[in-house]
Amino acid sequence: MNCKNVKNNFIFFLENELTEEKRVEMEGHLKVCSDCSHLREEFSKLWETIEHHEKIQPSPYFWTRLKQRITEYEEGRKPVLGWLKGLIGWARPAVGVAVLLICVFLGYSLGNFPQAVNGQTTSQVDERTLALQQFFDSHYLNPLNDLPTGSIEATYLDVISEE
Amino acid sequence: MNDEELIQKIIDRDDLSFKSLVDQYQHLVVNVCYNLIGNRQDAEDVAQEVFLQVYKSAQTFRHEAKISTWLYRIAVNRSLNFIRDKKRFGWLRSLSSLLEEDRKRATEVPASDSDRPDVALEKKERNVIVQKAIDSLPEKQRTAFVLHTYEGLPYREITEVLGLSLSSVESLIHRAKLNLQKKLLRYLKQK
Repeated sequence: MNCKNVKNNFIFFLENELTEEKRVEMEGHLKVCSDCSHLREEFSKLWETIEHHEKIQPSPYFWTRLKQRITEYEEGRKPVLGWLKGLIGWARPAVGVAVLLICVFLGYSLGNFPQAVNGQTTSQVDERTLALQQFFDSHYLNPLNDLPTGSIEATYLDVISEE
Repeated sequence: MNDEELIQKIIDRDDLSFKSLVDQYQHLVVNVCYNLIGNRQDAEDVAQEVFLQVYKSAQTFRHEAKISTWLYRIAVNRSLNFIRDKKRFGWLRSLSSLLEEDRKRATEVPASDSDRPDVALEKKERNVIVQKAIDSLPEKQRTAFVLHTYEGLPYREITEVLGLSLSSVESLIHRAKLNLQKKLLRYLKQK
């Protein structure tokens, strides 16, 4: 057995997992080879740490903490919290619908908000336009074709003054 | 009380029986978690999750296996999941320095009157070197090696814990030893 073979079998030699034949060969080589003998000694010291591996002690509060976790688990399974969880399930879509309705309402309100035109609010201009339209309709007038150019107010005043 | 009766009492929510199980096996579960994870605090947290899972799913226990085998299986799975989740988050890598410190503390050799300080320091250094070598093994090799060497489980029981064949377990442990040998010899050559 050469040095390379010996080094490849250190662990199995230490663990007594070699065949009798190989173990004898190894022991014979270690007797005559000082390098391998020294290396085996150093390797044994490392390997012994595994045999003397220390176990740790659990914390003295291990059971107390575990009991707390079990209590929390059991409380999460109780019916009184069960219905609450069901309610939360409905809450999400309800909130979504509510937000949508609010947005629609806001959009509608903003769209109908009175705007100023020539110093008058939109509602006031609409009332005047409606009155003029009713006048034209009653006199069978087409405001676009039958009336001379100019402001509609001026035309209206001319027409009523003719009456 | 045999295993079957104990489990049945736990299913029936008998607190005393569950505490009896915890008292009997907490040492085993905490140590196997610690040997895989390497951090005491994390090992205890994972061990708590193991017992909580036992509490929740005691009815899934198959009575043809021992309770200890079942606990080993849950502990190994939980520990490996914890390690994988820890690796996934890069910011947790900064805790690896704490990991090394924890290993050093746990593997300190108690000083004795016959030990000189330099001898004690050498022992401590060897512990760290060997633990690092074991931690660097591939996951399955490390798990099989830890269960066999630190927990003293026979090969047959390891097959039940890991769900592998006997030949697979033998192969894993053999390769783990070869890898450890290579790493430790490399360290000795550099020394």
